[in-house]
Amino acid sequence: MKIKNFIINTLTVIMLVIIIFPLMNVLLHSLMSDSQSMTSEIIPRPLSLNGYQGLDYNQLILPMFRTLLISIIGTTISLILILLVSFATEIGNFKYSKLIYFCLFIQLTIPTTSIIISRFEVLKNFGLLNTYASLIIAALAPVSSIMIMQSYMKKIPKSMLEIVMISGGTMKDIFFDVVIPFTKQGIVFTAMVTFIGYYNMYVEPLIYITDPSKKTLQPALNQMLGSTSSASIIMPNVQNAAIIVSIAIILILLPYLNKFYIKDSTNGALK
Amino acid sequence: MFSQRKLLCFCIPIVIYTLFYFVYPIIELIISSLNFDGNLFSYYYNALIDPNFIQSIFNAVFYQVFITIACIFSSLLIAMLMYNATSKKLISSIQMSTYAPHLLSWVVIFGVWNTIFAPNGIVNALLINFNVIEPNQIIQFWANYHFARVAIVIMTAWKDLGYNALIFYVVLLSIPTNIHEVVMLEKDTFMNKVTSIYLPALKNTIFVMIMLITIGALKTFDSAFLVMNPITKYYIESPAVYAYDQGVVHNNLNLASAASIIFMIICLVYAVVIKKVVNKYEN
Repeated sequence: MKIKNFIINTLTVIMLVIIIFPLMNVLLHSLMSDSQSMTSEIIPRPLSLNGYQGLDYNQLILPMFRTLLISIIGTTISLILILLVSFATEIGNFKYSKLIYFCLFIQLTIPTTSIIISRFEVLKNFGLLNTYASLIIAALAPVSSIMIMQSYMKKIPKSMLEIVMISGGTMKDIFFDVVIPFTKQGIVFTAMVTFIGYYNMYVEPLIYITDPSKKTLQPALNQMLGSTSSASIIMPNVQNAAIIVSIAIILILLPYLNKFYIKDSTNGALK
Repeated sequence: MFSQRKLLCFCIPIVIYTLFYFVYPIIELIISSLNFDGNLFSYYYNALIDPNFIQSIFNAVFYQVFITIACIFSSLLIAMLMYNATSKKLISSIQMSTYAPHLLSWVVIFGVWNTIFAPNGIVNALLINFNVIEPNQIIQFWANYHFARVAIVIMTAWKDLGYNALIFYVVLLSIPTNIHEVVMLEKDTFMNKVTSIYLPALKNTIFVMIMLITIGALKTFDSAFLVMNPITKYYIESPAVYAYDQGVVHNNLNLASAASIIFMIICLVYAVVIKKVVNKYEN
């Protein structure tokens, strides 16, 4: 039995190494000096921050701040919309909640990648091309986030709502005194999922934003990574440093998101 | 109970958003795919005789089949390892590290794998080290379409590994422990456990996951779009990439719209068939 456990644990460790290796490889490459990064070695000797010093402000950092700003604004707006809609369908007994479910069904079934060109035309007609508003629209209130929020709202005990109503509470009281405190975790989880959706958006900015002075993070990063053959050569260590800098914020959020995700899926399975 | 008018106000933004960003583009798409000057469906005909479009559908089928196989097998393996591993720390670390790629963008995923397969990456270095290739004949992996296709499959499996594995793992956790004892009395090997406990318990979940992954893989866009280069384009591009390429790059909007609609119909038919199969299976 002991040998068996040992074998399984070793196998798991090996899998762990294989899975983590691509990301570790990038981290190691980003810590190389300029001259070493042109060779095919893996371990950086000596450790050097050349890659991080070589990051260009206009090329990466500024687009990153733009993306962060868009993500924060977009997440805030989305969160308000998501809260209102899930409140109406789950708690408010909205008469026409079928209409909302139909809207969500439409959003789920239409393959978004197929209508991207006609979305481009629509935004052009409304004069929204080359505006950040087009990017905020692009990932506004995603269905997955609405569903997460609705599942949290379903868990609010009905008796709590009744108590507030009997004591003469208005809709506002219920919203701020019962719904918000009870779904605090759900709000954080939904916000993080929506934020990452905005942060990782690649194709939409690529198509909607053609003005180089408004470029956002993912297209900028892709341009940096693909520029080995173009006129301005970017060293591999700088490219890898750019990857690490761009994913830093997601790696910070990772433990929290992971915790929420585990909780969410275990609850779902128990049901 | 609550004022219905207020609730309506809460919901109106989502309705307007759906109309503006989903319904209106579809209508626009249908209008621009029809040729009002001559034969109404001539753009559809043009799309259907374009070998690039036909090949893109075959590519989508390739992705669908192999991404499903890769995702299911890798996540089953990880879920079973997680279930059998004894160290709690090991379980949580493998769970977290497999979940991390799911949160990264496709640009980063491609960048990460590009570092491994770059001309001065580790794979070329190893090949030179073991005398498989000469130092002057470094392999340009991304220029080979066989490799690029497999890379898309591997990258997708790597990206969604943690997400899928946790679903299987949670189902495994719900297996009652007394079943284990019975099977262990019978024949105490790992393979026996797999065939007589795990797979029967996971049967329904695997079935649902196959449905979900196949529908997702049909919509492959970002990965193919990033991996694609002029040499491998024909064998890599999915229908969505083809539509983007025709509509945005070549300014051939009508053809692109017709191709998108054909592909959307294929997706919808597939989804309906899947739903029928699921219903039958449940009965």
